[in-house]
Amino acid sequence: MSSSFWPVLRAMLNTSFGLSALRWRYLRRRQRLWEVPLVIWGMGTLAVMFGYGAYRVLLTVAKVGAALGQPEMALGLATTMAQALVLLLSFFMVVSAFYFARDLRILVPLPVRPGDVITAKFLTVLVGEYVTVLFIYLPAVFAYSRVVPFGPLKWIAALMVFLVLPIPPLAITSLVAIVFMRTINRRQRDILFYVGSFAFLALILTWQFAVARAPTANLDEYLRELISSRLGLLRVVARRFPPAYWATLAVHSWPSLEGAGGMLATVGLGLGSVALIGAAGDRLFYRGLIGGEEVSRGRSLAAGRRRGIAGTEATTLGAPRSPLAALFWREWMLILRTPVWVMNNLAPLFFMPLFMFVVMVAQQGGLRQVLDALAASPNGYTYLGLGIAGYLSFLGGVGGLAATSVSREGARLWISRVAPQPAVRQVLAKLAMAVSAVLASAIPALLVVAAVVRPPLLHMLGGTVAGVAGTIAVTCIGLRMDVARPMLRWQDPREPVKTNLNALMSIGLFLIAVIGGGLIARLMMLYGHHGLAVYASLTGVGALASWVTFRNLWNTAEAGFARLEI
Amino acid sequence: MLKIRGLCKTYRGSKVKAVDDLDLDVRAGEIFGFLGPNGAGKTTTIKAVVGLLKPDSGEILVDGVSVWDRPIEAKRRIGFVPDTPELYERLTGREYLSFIADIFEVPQEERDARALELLEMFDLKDALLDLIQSYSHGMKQKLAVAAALLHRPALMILDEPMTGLDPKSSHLFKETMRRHCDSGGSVFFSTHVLEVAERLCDRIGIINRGRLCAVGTMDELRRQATESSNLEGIFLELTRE
Repeated sequence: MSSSFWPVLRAMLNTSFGLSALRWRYLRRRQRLWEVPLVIWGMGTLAVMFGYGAYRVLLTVAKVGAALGQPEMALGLATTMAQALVLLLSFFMVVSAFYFARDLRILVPLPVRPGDVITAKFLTVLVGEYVTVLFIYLPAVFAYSRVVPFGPLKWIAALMVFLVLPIPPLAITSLVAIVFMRTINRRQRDILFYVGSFAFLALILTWQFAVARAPTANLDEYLRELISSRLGLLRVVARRFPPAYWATLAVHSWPSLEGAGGMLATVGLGLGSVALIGAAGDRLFYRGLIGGEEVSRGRSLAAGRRRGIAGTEATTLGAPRSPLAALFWREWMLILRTPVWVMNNLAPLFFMPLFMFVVMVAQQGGLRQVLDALAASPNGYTYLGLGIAGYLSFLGGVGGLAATSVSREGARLWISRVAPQPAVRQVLAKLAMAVSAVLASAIPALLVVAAVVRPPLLHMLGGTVAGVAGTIAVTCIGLRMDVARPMLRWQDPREPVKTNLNALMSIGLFLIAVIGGGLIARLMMLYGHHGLAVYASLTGVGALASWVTFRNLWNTAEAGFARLEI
Repeated sequence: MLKIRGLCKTYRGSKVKAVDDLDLDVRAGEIFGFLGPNGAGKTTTIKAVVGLLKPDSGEILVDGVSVWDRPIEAKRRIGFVPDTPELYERLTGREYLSFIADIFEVPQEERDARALELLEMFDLKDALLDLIQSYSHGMKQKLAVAAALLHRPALMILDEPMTGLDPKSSHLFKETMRRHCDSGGSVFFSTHVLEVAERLCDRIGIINRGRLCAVGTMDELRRQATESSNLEGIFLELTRE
C-alpha cells in the first residue's frame, strides 16, 4: 500500500457519503437544519423497529438453542445470514463503484497504483455493507448475551468480528466482478453484464438453497447430529461456508484456544482478502476498465443495417410520441440501461417472486401443510388477501423507484427543466413508470399464488385492489419527497439509489402503511367483519391516501421543480 | 427578442449578489456576446433566462413572453446549450433527438427533414445509432446544439459553447450562430474567447461582480474605454478591481 492510498481513501469516503457537503450545509451554512432531527428520528425509528424485530426472533432462536445445548445458534445463524446477504446484494454495488463511477476519470490519470484505487473503493463499499450487517449481527449479539455469560472481553471479540464480517463475502463478489469485467467482450458488454450477473446471483441462490435444504437420505442421523452434538448447527453451516463458522467460534469460544483460532482465522481471512483485492486490482482493474471505455465508432450504421434500419432511415427519428409518452419512455430507458439502477430499483421487485418460488420448492412438504391449514382456518384466505395487499404496498416502498426518480436525473435535470412541459406532466410520467414497474413485477407473484394456493377469486381480487391503492399512496409520497429534496450532485450512479435517504424513508413509509393497514384489518376481524368488508375498508383508506398524496404532489410539482437549482 | 429588467439573484446562504439589478436587451437577428471574468454572473444570468434558477426579483421576457409567468410558452422559444454537455449517456443520439423532438412537439412532417439537415451539418449521421457515452466531448457538444436547434427556436442561448472544441467544430458553431441570426433568430452566448466575441458578435455586454458594466457594439465599447481599443484591453480595463 503506497503513501497515496490514504488520500485516495479519504477523498472517496468524503465524496461517497457527502461528508464535506454535509459539514458545509449543516455546520458552516447552517441550512436546512430542520432536516437533522427529522432524519435522526426517521432512521432511529427504522433502526429500532428492524433491530428490535430481529432481536425478538433471534432471542427465541437463542433460547431454543440454549435448551438444546447450542447457545451459539442465534449468533451462528445471524453470522451466516449477514455474510450471505452481503454476498447476494453487493455484486452490483461493487461493479458500479469499480467500473461506472465518474471519479475514475480523475483517478486513472493520477500517479496512484490501480491496486490502491481498487482497495480504496472496496473499503468505501465495505462501509455501506456494515449497515446491512449491523441490523442482523448486533441484535444477535444482544440475544446471545442473554443466554451465556457475556463480559467485556466477549464484547471486544464481537466488535472485532463485526469489523471483518462483511469482508470475505464482499471480497468474493469483488474478485468475481474484477475478473468478469476484464473478461467480457466489450461489444456485447451490456448484454453479457446482465447475463453474467444473473448467472452469478443464480449461483448464490443455489448455494443458499443447498445450505437451507436438509439431506433426504440419512435424515434421522442428520437431525440427531444437528440437535444433540455440540455446535451441531454450526458444523452444518461450516461445511458450506467456513468463514461464518470461524466468526461464530471467535466470539462463542473466546478467550479459549478454540476461540483464538476462530479469531485468527476470521481476522486473517479479512486482511488477506483486502490484500488479495489490491493484488487483483493491480493486475486486472485498469485493463477491464479501459476495455469498457473504448469508443466503438463507425459501426453504428452497419449495426443499424443489420437491424433493418438502413440508409436514410438511419437518419430519421422514428414515429413521434406524445410528450407524456416520451417522458414515460425516457424513464424506462434510462433505468433499464443503467445496470446498477436495474439491480437496485427493479431487481428487488422481480427477485421477490423468484425468491418465494425457491422457498416454496425448498419447503415442499411444509408448504402443503401451510396450504391445508390456510384452507381449514376460518379467516385463512382473508389473511392471504391481506398478505397480497401488504406485498403490493411493500413493492411500492422497497424498490425506491419513485423516491429516487428525480435524484437519478442528476446533472441532466437541466434537460427536464428547459423542456416546455409542465412539471406536473413530468411528475406524472415518473409516477406512471414507478407504478407500472410495481404492477409488472407483481403479476408473476400473483400468478404463482393463484396457481399454487388457488384461493377464491374474491380474496385474490380484494387483496390486489387494496394493495394497488396502498402502493399508489406510498409511490406518491416517495416521489413527493424526491421532488422536495433530490440528490442531484453525484459522481457514481450508485449514489442516488444507494446513499439517498429518500430511498430509506420510502421503506419507512411502507412500514407505516402496513402497520396502519394491519391494525385496521386486525380490529375489523376481531369484530367479526367479513373479508370483503376488510378489503373494502383498506381499499377505501388506500384510495383516500392515494388521492390526498396525489393531489399534494400535483399541487406542489411546479413550485417544487422551480426550486431545484442546478 | 430577450429583455431582462432589474434581475437580481443571491444564492442561498451567500451574502454576495451573483447578479445585481441587471438590465439587458438582445434584439431580433443579432448575436449578443456576454463576457465577464470567472464568477461575474454570466452563467447565473443564463440559468435564470432558461428557467434553471429562480431570480429573487426582476423580469425576463423572451419574445415578449415572461419566463417565470408563462414558462412553457417561453421555453418553446428557447434553444439552450449548457456549458458542459450533460446528456443522457445511455441513449443513442437518435433516441435523444427523438425524445427532444417529442417534448418540444416538433410536427411529424418537419422532424425528420430538420434532423437530417442538422445531422449533416454537424457530421453526426454515422454516430446516430451509437450510445452518447461513446461520443467525444465535441460530438456531445454538437449533439446538444443539434437538439437545441431541432425545434427552430427564436432565441439560442449558449453557455461557453466553444470550450473544448477543435478549430473545425468551433468554426462550424460560429457559422451556425450566424446562419441562425440570418434566418431571423437571435443568439445570446457567453464566452471567454475574446477574439470570437470581437469578430462574431453584433453587440457585446460585459458583466463584472453581477453588474453590467458595458454594453454595445465594438465601436461603442471603444468609446466607453479610455485606454484601449481592442476587446481584450477594453475587457481588462472595465473589469479591473
